[in-house]
Amino acid sequence: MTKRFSGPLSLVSGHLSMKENMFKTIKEIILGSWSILVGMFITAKWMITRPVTIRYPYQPTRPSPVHKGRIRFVIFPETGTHDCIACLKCENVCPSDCFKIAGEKPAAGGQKRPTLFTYNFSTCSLCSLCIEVCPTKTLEHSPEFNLASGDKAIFFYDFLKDTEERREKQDAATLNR
Amino acid sequence: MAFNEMIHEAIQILIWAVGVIAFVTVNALALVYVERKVSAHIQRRLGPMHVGPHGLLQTIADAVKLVSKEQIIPKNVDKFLFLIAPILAFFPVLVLFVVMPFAPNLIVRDLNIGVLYVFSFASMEVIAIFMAGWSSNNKYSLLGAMRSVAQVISYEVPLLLSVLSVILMIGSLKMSEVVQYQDKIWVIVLQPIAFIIFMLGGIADTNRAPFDIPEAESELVAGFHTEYSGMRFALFFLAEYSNVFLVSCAATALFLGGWYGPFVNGVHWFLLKVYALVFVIVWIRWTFPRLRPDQLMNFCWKILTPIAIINLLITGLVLKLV
Repeated sequence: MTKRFSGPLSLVSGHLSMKENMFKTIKEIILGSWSILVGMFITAKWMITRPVTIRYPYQPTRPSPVHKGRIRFVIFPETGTHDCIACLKCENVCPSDCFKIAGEKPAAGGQKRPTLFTYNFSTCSLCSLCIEVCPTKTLEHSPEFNLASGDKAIFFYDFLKDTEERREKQDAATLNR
Repeated sequence: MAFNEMIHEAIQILIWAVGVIAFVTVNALALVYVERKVSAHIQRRLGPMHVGPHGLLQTIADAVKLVSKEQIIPKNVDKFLFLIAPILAFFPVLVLFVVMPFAPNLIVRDLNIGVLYVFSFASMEVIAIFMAGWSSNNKYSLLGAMRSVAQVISYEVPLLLSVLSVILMIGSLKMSEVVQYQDKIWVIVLQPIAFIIFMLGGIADTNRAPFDIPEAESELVAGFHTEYSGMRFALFFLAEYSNVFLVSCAATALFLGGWYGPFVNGVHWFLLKVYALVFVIVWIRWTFPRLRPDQLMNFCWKILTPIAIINLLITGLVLKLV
């Protein structure tokens, strides 16, 4: 509880005698002036510290590693590619119908693989349901954030092509190192 | 010959008028920019940075925007008062530049009653605010305007009392003599309390900083300039920032030694001091929360006015005995 200080500037001072009122006034003036000076020094200190603004397009931001961006295939280090089995679970669970998937078992036998895997980022709400439901854990969020565009066609990703490009970039990066 | 002199005078007046108007406009633009930058850095952000290098041309862009806006005049306003009010708010600014002592040779007219002139025109903006609030046919405008009138009237009293102490000491109302009195020692050293009261009264007079109830209502609800758009609002805005400049000018002339300074006396010292005071006024605005109207009135009548009166008494006594 704050102590109720009743000087002439508060609403309750009728009960004070003349002498009390005078002393309280003087005390209030001194305390008030001191608090004014303290306040101004605090703002002065903030005035000379560096601003916290990052001027985004002109200065690089600090992207977060846990940023949940658009969906993409995981490139597993052991196989060097994705592990999608075209089970269509992500297509069925997506509340916004973002996926169009078709797959077939190769004639020579082995795992069923996708032949068509398109994803529409313009309707995606980043709810992560497809990631949770994938049995092979082959979907992940991308940490990319510079995805604004004036052309809607860019947001229709073909995951198979996208994974190929990423693999080539990764190989190029390891070669250059 | 008299005709020749008249032409001479007329041309001089024209040059002064154009110079004053140009200075007022550029100054107001600069002050708006300074306020935005200082407030930004106090809040640890950057302020305008895009338009021009470090945002220097931002105010010009804002001015162009304001000028190009549609002028809306609501239906039931008092037409004449509504249209006159912004002009009346801006007019004292131009008029007050006439007596400000920028340098010994840069006073437009060194009137014998310079100080009285300053404070009589400074009270005219109250009329403009009240006209704006009254004619707007809007409850909130009217309340804002009435509060502003009460505030300005009550803060004029300690303001003028503090100026009176200074004038009592100096013995002349002429602006140039007021500044010349300070060639050895500044008045602020002799009358520090009067200076503080003057600054507080001046800030309250221009509806600024912690005393901006009329403006605050315009952020929250309405306020006296709610129904104004475009150029009319720009005039109120311009008038407010120019008033801040003029209050600092008056304070510099009365208390801080005008154009006197270490090596070379001149207009640069005057402007330096004026802008330092303007910076302090902007600094105060972004440091303190707004005063409630009752706190405002209490502060003025119960603390500032008694102190101003005591200061005047002490000045009189000292002058009589010394």
